[in-house]
Amino acid sequence: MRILVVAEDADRLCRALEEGGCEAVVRTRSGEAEHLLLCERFDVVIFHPRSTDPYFLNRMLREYPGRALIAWLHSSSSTRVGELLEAGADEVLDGTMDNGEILARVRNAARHGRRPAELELELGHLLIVSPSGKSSWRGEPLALTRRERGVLLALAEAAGETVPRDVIYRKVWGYSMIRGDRSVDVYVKRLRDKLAQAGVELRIRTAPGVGYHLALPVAEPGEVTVAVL
Amino acid sequence: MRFSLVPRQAQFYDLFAQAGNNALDAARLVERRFQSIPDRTVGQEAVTDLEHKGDDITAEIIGLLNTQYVTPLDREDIYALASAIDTVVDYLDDASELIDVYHIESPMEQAVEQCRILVGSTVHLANALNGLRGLRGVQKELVALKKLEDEGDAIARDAIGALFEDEKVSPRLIIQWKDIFEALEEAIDSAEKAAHLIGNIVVKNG
Repeated sequence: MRILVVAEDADRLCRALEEGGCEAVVRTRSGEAEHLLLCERFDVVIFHPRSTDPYFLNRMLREYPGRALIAWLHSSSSTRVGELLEAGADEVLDGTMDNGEILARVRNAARHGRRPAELELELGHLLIVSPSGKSSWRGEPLALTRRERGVLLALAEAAGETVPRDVIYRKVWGYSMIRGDRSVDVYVKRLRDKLAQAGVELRIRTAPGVGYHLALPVAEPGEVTVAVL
Repeated sequence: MRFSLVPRQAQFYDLFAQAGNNALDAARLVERRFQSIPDRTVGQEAVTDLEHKGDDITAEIIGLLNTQYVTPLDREDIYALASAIDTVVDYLDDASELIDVYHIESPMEQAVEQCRILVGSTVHLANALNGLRGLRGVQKELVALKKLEDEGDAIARDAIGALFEDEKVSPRLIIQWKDIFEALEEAIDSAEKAAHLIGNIVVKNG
């Protein structure tokens, strides 16, 4: 098993992994680790959560799916473990565990924590592949930018329901939205123009003061309107 | 350099009126730029051209000041007022330039509001400068400008506060927008400073 360790002072952890026959590659900086993830295949990412990069886990979940994500703490508390698991980590390890327990938890997370590499969302004739966001209408690819695809995906995931602006922003940009920021409105406008240009029959409706929702087309008899494959 | 004994007083008033109108044009253009992000329908070049035009008017006022033996207002008042109007346009240019420098991709409501205040302030500033010759109707323009400046202060405080309401906001956006909000606020403050100088002129010469 190939494991990317993103932590400083991870000798103890690496020894445990290598004793268990795993190949551990260590990077101390998250930027270097993310670059490596683009170039090489890893089964598991073990990271030390840092206050200087609080969005590392979010980015991993969004940008690099298909790998188990494990947090490594030198010492842990129930609250911290709960927070990390709630945030999407598959497992939390800490320095008080012996090598056997560390290995067992890593293997377990690798077996059960792996997310599907791709998820297809079908909305009438619209198909969106998550997380890459590649999208098509009646089989024709839609020329959308990454952010436009992200906004479309956020709306399509909750098709028919209003998605608040700040929720769309968090999903697409990965940060909290600043009050007054019009980014979502700008991208929805662009998306509307592009969807109309491509002849897409779905409409993005505005919920004034709240957000947007993707209006579902009227289903033809026997047609599946929404399907997550 | 020669002093002229033939007074060219009217020219001072004309130049101040031009400077005021130029500041108003710049504010309107900057407002359009902030409203139209990310489309860039108005380029920064147009704002920079007005900034250069403002510099030329200021240079002309100072040049005239240096060659005139008799001036319609105190020399230091003319110099300070010309500089203050020039500063308004300089800050407008700075704020507008940051849209491109920081590759701003979406507008922020508070910045658009600050631009609205700036347009209103420069309307009153231009009216006051156009009325400088007879000092008629100037005072009410200054009062209105001061009121707008107070509103601008509140918007700037709220705008900067909004950047720090949530710790999970992008630090990059905080840096970008804090600089822009501050540059727009400086432009509003400079308009108020110019108004204050006009107020002193009215008291001295009214």
